[in-house]
Amino acid sequence: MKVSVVVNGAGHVVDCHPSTLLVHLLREELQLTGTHVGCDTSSCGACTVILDGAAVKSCTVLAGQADGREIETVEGLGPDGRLGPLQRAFAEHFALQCGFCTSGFLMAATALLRENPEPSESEVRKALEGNLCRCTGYQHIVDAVLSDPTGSGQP
Amino acid sequence: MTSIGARLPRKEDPRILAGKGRYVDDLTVPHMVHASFVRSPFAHADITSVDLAGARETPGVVASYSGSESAAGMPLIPTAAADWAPPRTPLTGDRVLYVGEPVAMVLASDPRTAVNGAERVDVDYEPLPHVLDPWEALSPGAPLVHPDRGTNKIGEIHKVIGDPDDAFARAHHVVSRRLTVQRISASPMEPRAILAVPEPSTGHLTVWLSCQGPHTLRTWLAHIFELDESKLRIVAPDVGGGFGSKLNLYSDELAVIWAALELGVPVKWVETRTENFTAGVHARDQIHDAELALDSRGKILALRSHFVGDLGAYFHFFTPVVPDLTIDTLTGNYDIPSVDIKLEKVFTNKMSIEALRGSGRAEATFVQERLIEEAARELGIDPVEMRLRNLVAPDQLPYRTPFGLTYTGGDYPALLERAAELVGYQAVRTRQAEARKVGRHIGVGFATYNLLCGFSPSGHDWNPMKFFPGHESTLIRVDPQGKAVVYSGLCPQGQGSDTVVAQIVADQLQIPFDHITVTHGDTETIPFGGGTHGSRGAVVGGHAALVAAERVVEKARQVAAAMLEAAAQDIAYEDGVFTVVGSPETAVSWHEVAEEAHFLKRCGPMFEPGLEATAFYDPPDVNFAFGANAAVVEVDTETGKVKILDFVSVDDYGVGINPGIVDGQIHGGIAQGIGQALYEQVSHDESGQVPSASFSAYLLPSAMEVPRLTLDNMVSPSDTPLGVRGVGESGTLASPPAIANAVADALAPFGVRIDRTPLRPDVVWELMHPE
Ligand code: FES
Ligand code: FES
Repeated sequence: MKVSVVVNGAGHVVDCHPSTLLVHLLREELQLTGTHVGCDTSSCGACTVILDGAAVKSCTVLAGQADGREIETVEGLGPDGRLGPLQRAFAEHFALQCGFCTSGFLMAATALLRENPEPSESEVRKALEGNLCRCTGYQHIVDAVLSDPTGSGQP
Repeated sequence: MTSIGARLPRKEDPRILAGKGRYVDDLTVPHMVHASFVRSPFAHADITSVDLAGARETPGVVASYSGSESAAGMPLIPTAAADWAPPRTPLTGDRVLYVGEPVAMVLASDPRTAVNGAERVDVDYEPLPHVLDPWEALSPGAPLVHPDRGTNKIGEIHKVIGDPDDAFARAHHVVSRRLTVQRISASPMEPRAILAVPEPSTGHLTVWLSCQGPHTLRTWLAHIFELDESKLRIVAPDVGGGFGSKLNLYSDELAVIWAALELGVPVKWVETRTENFTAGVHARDQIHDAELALDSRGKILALRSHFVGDLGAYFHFFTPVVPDLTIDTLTGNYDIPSVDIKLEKVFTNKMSIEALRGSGRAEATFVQERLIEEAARELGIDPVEMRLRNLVAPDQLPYRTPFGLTYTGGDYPALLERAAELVGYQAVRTRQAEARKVGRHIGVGFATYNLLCGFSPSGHDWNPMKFFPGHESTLIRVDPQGKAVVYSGLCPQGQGSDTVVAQIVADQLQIPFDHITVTHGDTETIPFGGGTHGSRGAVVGGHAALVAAERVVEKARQVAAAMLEAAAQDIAYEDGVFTVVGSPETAVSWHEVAEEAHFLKRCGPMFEPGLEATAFYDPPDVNFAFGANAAVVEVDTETGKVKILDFVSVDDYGVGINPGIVDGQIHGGIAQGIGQALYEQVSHDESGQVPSASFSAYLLPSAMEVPRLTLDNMVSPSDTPLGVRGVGESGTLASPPAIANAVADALAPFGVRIDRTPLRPDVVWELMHPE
């Protein structure tokens, strides 16, 4: 089947099997390997992307369900391939170690900050509950998200 | 200019944050085929037939192999830790010994087709009686995992030091418990992954492997397949966590390599999470019958523990020695004159036990700290005071443990007192009393740890492993611009050692941190390497970098001497400038020296061209890091749910090279300890199946379960040039007993015994309702 998607602002028409998952379309057809697969039970959040503005686990979405829709992945977060403010905040706060979970956290946190630019610590933790990280113990990730990376909390 | 101690940003972050990390699953090569495995659904069974026809008829399937057909052509896999290992081949031919054991492999043009093909393989099994419980495995008449051995007992180590019998005979009080540290899983977020790329025309083979140390595995691979090591290249690209589980070459990974060599095409395999839980190694799984002999003031006279280590069915890399580490670390930071420790190691029909962050030592810490807590309670002594009476005091240092380990430096009582202060111990007691009046149950728990780390000097007792180096290497190559590329033998999986190594080198070469590139994880470019495990990154790998950098500076000094027409010993190097001692105006810069070292334009052939050096650093001894944790919890006695209200860790890891990295290591270790204390357990049902084989059943703590952690540190530099001790595993040791002790404290009014983890709501609820 043919699936047409807009990914990080660019349109693509991809021919794929009806059982193809969105995460495989991104990784294998579009070579956007920044989105990772960490489980087979939709439990880890490593595959989180933003679909029409909402953070979703791309291993739970069929490619066909994304037809005609807009997807954002980690590769599109920064302007012109440079790092955006949340990505820089992750580096400043040591919010990644092995980095395998990182793109999922970045996308989940991006969706949160768009909706709620000044979240409390418990709101951040709640929003990231579906993303697992085995390395960091979460504190530095939470700190990065709380650091007001986009400056929207400025007076 | 000093980089050591600075919170410098990690070298790898910009790339990974941009989504440009390169994990094995991200790699593709032309003509690559994908593997999928057929695995045993039985804990113990004879394979009576394997029919590959269904797979072979599946469109897109390229090849399929069964262990029974191919076993003759497959090599036996040894262990690094003993001369004998139970026979194991990449695919099992005749009998399966655990659920998840690979019996057949299907290769196809894409991963989904490989899975479909594997689903169409027909295997007939004749189930055999199996044994899962280690005590049952030791009892007469138990089903035998390896019948030709005649017993499931692998071996026994018994150490009696001092006079424990006398101590127990004259003790004022004895506290005894059976304490269980459950089987857990490392669960790195990136499952195992491999891409084997053969080059049949030359006989070369490149293996991209998610691993913790490619050199050791290259030697093993050459040994197993009888290959020429010079034609093997192993590369660990970005590795998404390992924690000990990726030190191995597993059966299925070897099957992938075997198939790549057979077919002459690249073969890729990426493990599913379900497979990681059954066919990836497990850890811990010890049961201790432990007791302390105490005098009337609570001074510990002797420790006895007779314990069993359930090692599973086969030996992986370290399997048979993992529980050995528990023995010599059982006294921790405490001054205990007499010990009687017996370990029995047992085969069962389960996946193997292996190293996992804190392995051996985490089990020891749980046992000693749970026992001391119970002793304090039974004697009516405050648990902090009880510990202070028994901790090795600063004036006892250097302190030789009964097992012959020598502790130097540090102030264990001060670490504990600082943890008590930071957690607001007295205030928590008040709060606890208030809460109890309204039926709420708050508890506070403490634990200290002593992390034996920095594995391991060659020839040391802690390095019994064949083909497993205790040293580490670094090559530093300076280019004509004066910038350096550092080739480190470490193989980080998130530890940030590229940054740490760059900080060490920057200070020696006196060049900007940004002028240093660090590379690792490739046998083609790195001189040699022990890899990253056992909290050895800074203390072993860091020193290799230090010595190599010192050698580079020495060489640069010779070049500068030639340029300045002076003797090398008269050349000073400061702030990136070489001067002749006594005449500071006679100077050349680092950059000028680097250029001259390569082009010899100013002074001609007065020295060997080039500016590089290699160092192999073999540590003189193991190292120790130590600290104390305090946890405050609230237990909901209606639901059994444990909530961590506060968690404090005070650590002494010696000199910290990068505070951001060090804190992250401690946070991550504590989070794993919280998982072990409250949530995680690899469970086997009666048939030997693993119902916990998914993240929906095996619960890793999320950002909701790990509270904000309060860290503090004290610095007692180790007796090494850098003064570092080790930190990678620190968080995993004291956190499980601190939390268990807090739960025991909260539930003290109910007379509940906390003898095992995880303290999941259902477990706590059952403890509260014993009928
Ligand atoms: S891969 Fe784990 S939730 Fe999608
Ligand atoms: S950084 Fe390794 S899993 Fe999050």
